[in-house]
Formats: sequence, structure tokens, C-alpha cells
Amino acid sequence: MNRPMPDDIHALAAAYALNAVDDVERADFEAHLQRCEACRTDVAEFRSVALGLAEDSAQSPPASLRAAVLSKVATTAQDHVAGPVVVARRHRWSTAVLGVAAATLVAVLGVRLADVTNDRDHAQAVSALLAAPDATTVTLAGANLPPDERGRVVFSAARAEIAVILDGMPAMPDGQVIQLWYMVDHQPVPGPTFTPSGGRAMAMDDGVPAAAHAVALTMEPTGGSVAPTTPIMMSSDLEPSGR
Amino acid sequence: MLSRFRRRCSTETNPVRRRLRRTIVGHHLRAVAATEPVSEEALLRRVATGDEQAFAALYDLLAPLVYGVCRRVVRHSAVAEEVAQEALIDVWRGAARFDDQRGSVRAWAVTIAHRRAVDRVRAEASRVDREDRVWRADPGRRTTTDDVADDVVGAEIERLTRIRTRRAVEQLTDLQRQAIEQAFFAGRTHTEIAGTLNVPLGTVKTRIRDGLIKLGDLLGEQR
Repeated sequence: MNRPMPDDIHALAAAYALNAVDDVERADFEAHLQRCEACRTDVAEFRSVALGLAEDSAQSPPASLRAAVLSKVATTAQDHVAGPVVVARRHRWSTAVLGVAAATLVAVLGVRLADVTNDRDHAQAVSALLAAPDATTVTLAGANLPPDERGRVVFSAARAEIAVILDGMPAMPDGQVIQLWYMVDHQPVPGPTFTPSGGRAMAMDDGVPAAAHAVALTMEPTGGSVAPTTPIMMSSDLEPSGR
Repeated sequence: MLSRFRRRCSTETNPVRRRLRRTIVGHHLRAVAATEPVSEEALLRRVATGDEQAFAALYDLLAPLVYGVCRRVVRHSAVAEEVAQEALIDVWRGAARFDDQRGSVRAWAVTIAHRRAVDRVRAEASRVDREDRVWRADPGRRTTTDDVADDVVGAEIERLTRIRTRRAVEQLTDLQRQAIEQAFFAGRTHTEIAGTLNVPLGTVKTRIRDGLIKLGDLLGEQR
């Protein structure tokens, strides 16, 4: 569960509040935020300080901006904080119990981890996760996905830890991120958000709800949602081995 | 240090202090809607129900802040206008997601605008890397201030806000100030900042954090 972080992740709250993090760090920290009340408080307060800096830069926009924004608003649908969704199709995937070294990551995941993240600590974290006795890998499936678009999940129920690795992803529209959902009793529970870079994306979370029986991915506005607002892109059952 | 920060901030969740704080930071509000003070929070609640009129009123309160952040980060005025537009549309779209337990509407709007601006700067930087071209910021067209020319009170409060913030920033150590400026205004990651300032990675994280705590204390004391 609480795998020791390479650094004290709490220390990232200020940098996160100022957007001074890269996509991998953001995904990591947002996963952490889901379960750290102290960091949520810190981020809110650091953002109120950032507001002070921003007020210092306030200046009147060109008059054209108002007309452009108001006319766009008239034709832009608002996001609704949606109710629960269910996974449309449930897939059964064969379980592979793995205890592998980092060298076999390519074979297992079909992607070179170095391509996904150049952060050695993340590569090591995935390797460590794969080495967990109950680690399983599952493939994410979704409707109408391009053939080279892949999603793999490494999951350890004992550690309540998951890694999601996506490959061949198209660029996300501005302001959109991918969000991971845990299906608990067929209700979505929000997981971390992440953004593909160069077609690849990765998220890790060590707070998988114990009762999660499936995972799903949706596209959500930056910052993530409390419930899915768009159709599921990919999903998979989790295979809790040893249960 | 941080616990002191938390304690101080937690007292500001006190409704009276919060209202006071809102009155101070929400000076545009008083200037624009002098007759009937409507808080940004109240307007946003109406926006969340699809009320376009409320959004127009909220636009007037937030646009200088949102545009100012975008302008400061992306520098190029035409690009800033584009990015500010995206951010303000995000405010419209995401109104239902605003959580008033997590800070003010203004702080939320800044978060959205800053993230948009930083994403644009980074996308531009990687494009420039690829194409090996130099991105030239325009020399800085000053926008006309016709909209606020009559708003003498608002302008005065704005001026005082700037002086107050600058005084606070001047009290930071050089490293704190540089780290925060590079993060907030140049859109750099803490890793990049460690490179430009030639200091260890952990140091930048800590300086950003300490600097923000100190700024928060200084700005809080002056209120």
C-alpha cells in the first residue's frame, strides 16, 4: 500500500499548486491527493497565495475577448457532474502471475517503459509492482480503438497498487486529461488523471479500493471529475488473484 | 513552518474572515456591481445552472485576472487572448465542479488559466525545439484600458494590491523569489528550474514551498 516514495511526495504540493510539475509528477501527485487531506488543504492554500501573485498581473483584456467568449458560451454545453455509469462490456482476461525482472517488461507490457517515462524511479516502481507475488497484467479493451492503441494494467491486490500504461494514444484535446476509474460494486470511484505525451501515458496509484473489480478510463476536463462525464474509452476487469 | 501556515489558513475558513478576504480580493466586484454586491461564488452557482447572464457578469469580474495571468505567462498578447478564451470557456463548462470548500472562485479561475497558459508555453517550447525556431514574444502591446478608465476606485485598489504583493515578494530570499517567478510566470517545472538556477532538485521544491508559505504569511498580515 504505502510504497516508499522516491521523495517525500507531500513536498510536491507547492510545486503542484504552481503547475511546476511534469505530467508524470502531476499524475502521481493527483493520485496522492485523492487520499491525503493535508495535501489537499496545502494545495488550496498555496493556490490562494498564487491568486495573490496573479492579482498583481491583472490587466484589462482587449474588448474583443468578451464578445468572443460570450458568443462561444452560447453554443458550448456545460459539463454535468454525472451520475454513475456501468461498464458496458465486461471482459474476462486470463491471469498471468508474474514475478519478473525489469528486463522482461517489454515482453510483458508490450511497451518499453523508458519510452513511457524517463523517470527511473517510476520504471523501478513498475518493476517492483510486477515482482509482487500476486501481480497480474490485464489488457484494456475499448470499442473502435485503433489497432496500435494499447492499454496495459499491472495490478496487485495485496499491495492495493496499480500501474496503467497506455501506448499509441492520440493527443488529448486542450484541457482534457485521461482519468482512471475504479469500479466498486459497479459504481465508478475516481482515480488519478494523466496526460499522454508523445502517444504514451502512465499512471500509478497505491490506493486502489479493496473492493475494486474493474477499471475504466474516460476523458475528463483537466483536474479530473468526481464522476465520469464522457463514455468509457477502455475498461477491463481486474483479476484479484488469490481471492 | 507548514503547521503554522495550516493553522493560520484554517482560521480563514472562518466565514467572517473569508468574507473579509473576499471583499479585499474581489475589488473588481465592487467596482462593476456597485449597486448590488453579488459574490463571484453566488454568480458561479447561477452559471452552473446554465445562466448565461450570470456568466457575463462573472466574466466582467474574472476576465482581467484570467487575461492578466495568461498574458504574463505566454507573453504574446494574441496568444494570451486565445488562451484566456479557452480558460474562461473552461470556467463556463466546469462551473458545476467548483468546490467552495477548496478556495475562492478567483483562486479556482487562476488555477484554470495558469494551467492553460503553462500548457501552451510548454507545447510551444517543444514545438520550437522540434522545428528549431525561435519563438519571439511580441514586445508587449499594452491593451487599452477603456473599460476601466472610469473605474477610479478599482484602479486605486488594483495599484495598492500590486504594491502590497511586490513588497511581499521583495522580502523573499533570492532563491525563493527566482524559483516562484520561474514556476509561476515562466511556466517551468521544478526540474527545469533546478537546471536554470543550478541548484539541487529538492532545493527548488523546498524554496517554492517556503517562499509560498512566507508570501502567504506576508499577504495575510497585511490584510
